[in-house]
Amino acid sequence: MSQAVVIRQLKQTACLVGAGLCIGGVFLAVPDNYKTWKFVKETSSGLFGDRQVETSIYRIEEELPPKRKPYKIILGQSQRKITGLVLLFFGGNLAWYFGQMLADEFEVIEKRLYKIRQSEFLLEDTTLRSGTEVEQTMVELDMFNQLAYYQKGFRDKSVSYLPPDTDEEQQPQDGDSDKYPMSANGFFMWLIDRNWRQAKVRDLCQKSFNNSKLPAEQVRAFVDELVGQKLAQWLDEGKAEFRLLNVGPQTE
Amino acid sequence: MSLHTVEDINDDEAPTPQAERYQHLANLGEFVVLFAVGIGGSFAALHNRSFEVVLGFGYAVAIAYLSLQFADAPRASLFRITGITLGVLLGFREIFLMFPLPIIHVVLSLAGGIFLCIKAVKWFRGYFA
Repeated sequence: MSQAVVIRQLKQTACLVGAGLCIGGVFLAVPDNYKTWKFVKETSSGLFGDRQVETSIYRIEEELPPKRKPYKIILGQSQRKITGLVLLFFGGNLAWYFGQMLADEFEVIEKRLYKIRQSEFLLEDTTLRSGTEVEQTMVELDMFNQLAYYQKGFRDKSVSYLPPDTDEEQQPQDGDSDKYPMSANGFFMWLIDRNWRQAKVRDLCQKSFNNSKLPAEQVRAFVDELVGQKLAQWLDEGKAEFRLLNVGPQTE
Repeated sequence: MSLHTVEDINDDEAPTPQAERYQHLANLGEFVVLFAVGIGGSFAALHNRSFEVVLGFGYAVAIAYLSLQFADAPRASLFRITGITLGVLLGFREIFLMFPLPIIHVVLSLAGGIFLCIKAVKWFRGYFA
């Protein structure tokens, strides 16, 4: 769990503990009296000699009038009430401080979540709108296609609406009908095209070069020229076999 | 309401249930602190009778201060006055042993007096503003 979450949980705990202390402190601090009170009955003679009895209440530290005794005493609970007061003050400050802090934090968090949710709605709306536009365009294209299909039946056949295709005239020629220049370079290109890296003069004389057979002297002249250009190398003194140099590995 | 960009989203009216919950707890804490101040002043006055005068003056000063409105606008002044008054009343409750007056009458009289004072202050402010 991340540190921020732990700290927020500690704040929540402190806030709730403060609220609990508030509630408990009220029950400790409010009931009963703080002071001890003494109740005394006092009699006096009235204006016409009649006796009047009235009740007086004194604190515990106050002296009673002479010859009077309290008939009732209410005990004070000062210690318990002060404990409750301390709990109230401490818990109230806890709940106030951490509650305000958490309220500010959660306000920011919830407003950001609200904005994220609303932007998700916005994205969904935009996606739906784009999809609708694409679908409408597809329907229109389909209608144009059908219109062109029905128009075909009413076209004038003698009029050419499109330029003639020229792709078919430029077919590449392959096979043995390749034309190579009658030179060492043409001979080299022929060897590369046929993928021959090493050959004997006697074998090459049997092959077709520009629809004809090369004589052995011609082949040796071409290979000598290639040796001069450091493109080939004789493999024996009798100039019967050679191989090409500086040519990459055989490819398919 | 039509949204086209992210800037169009207004989060002033966004629902914030968690924040409101903790705001309620913070308000409870504030109320209880003022209540504890009132009840503590009452206990001091009961403990030593010399403090009764101090308590009376302090109560009057506190009510006057909380009734004022400064530039930073004290939040819920009636709420704060209620907290401190309730603390003073419940802490000083045993004084009514001497005066056989029903406590509910005293509470209603005090509340009515505070209400009338606030109304008068507001009327004067509106009159001279």
